[in-house]
Amino acid sequence: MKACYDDEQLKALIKDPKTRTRGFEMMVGQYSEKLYWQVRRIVLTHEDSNDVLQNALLKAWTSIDSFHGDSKIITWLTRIAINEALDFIRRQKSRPAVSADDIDTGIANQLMADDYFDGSQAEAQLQEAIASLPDVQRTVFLLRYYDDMKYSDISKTLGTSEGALKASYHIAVKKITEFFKRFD
Amino acid sequence: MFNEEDYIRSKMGNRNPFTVPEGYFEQLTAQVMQKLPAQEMQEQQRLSAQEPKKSAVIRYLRPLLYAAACICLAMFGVTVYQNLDQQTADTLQSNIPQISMEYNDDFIDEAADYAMLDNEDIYASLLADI
Repeated sequence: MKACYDDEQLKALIKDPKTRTRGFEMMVGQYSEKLYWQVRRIVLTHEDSNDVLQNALLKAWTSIDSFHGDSKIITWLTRIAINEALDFIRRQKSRPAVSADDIDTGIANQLMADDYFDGSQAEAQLQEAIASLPDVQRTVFLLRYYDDMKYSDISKTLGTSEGALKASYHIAVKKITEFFKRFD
Repeated sequence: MFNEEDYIRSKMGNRNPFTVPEGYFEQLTAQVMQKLPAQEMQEQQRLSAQEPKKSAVIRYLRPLLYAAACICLAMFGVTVYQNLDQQTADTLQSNIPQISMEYNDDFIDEAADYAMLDNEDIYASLLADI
C-alpha cells in the first residue's frame, strides 16, 4: 500500500533545495497513478501516455521554483499533465496521417485492437465520441464523468470560470448523446 | 441535461476501460526519478550531503587559518625589512668609501706628481678660477 503524505509536508520538502529531490520523489509516488489516468483518457494509448506523463513530471521538476504552494500540489500537477496531453494530441492532429489505415480506422476500432484496452465496443465508441470534442469540453467531461471532480477544483486546475465549465460540460454531454443516438 | 447524462451512464457506465502493463505503476516513480536532469540531481545531492560537513570544517579551521595568515605576513615583513637594511648598510659601508678613497689618493697624487705641483700651487689655481 502506498504511503500517503500530507500536502503541507510535501510542499515544505520540495521548497527546501536540500530535501527537494526526496520530496519530489514522494510527490511522484503519491500522485503519478492518478495523473497517468487523467493523461491516458486524453491520449488513449499506453505508450504515448507514459511519454506524456514523463514529460509533464519533468516540466514540474524544472519549474518547481515557480510553484509557490498557493494551490494544492495535485491541482498544479494536473494542470501541467493535462496541458502536456492536449499539446500532444494537437501535435498529432497537425501531423499528416502515416497510412490510409489511419484515416479509415476510427478511434473505437483502434482501441478494440489495443492490448491495453479491455472495454466493450460501446465503451470504445464513448472514447471516440469524447475524442471528437474540443479541448475544454473534452477535459471538463473527462474530469467530471470519470474523476467526479468538483467544478470549483476544475476551475482552479484549468483557470476557467465555473460558469463557463458548466456550459462546456452541458454541451459535451449533449454532443455525446447525439453521437450515440445516431447509432441507435 | 441530467437525463442525457443518465443516458450515457446507463449505456456505457463510467468504468475505466484502460489497462497498463503488469508492474507499471510499481516502477513508475523510479523511472521518472531516473530521467530527471542528472546535473540538477547531483547538485541537490551535493547540497544535502556535503554542505553541513564543509561548513563545519571551515568553522573549526577559520581561526587557525587567520593565525597562519598573520604569521606568514609578519615573517614576510621581517624578512623584507632585514634584506633592505642589510643592502643599505653594505652600500654605505663598503662601496662608497672604497671608491672615494681610491679616487682621492691615487688619482690626485698621480696627477700632482705628473704636474710637479705641490699643495700651494693647487690652492692658488683653485682661487684663480673664482
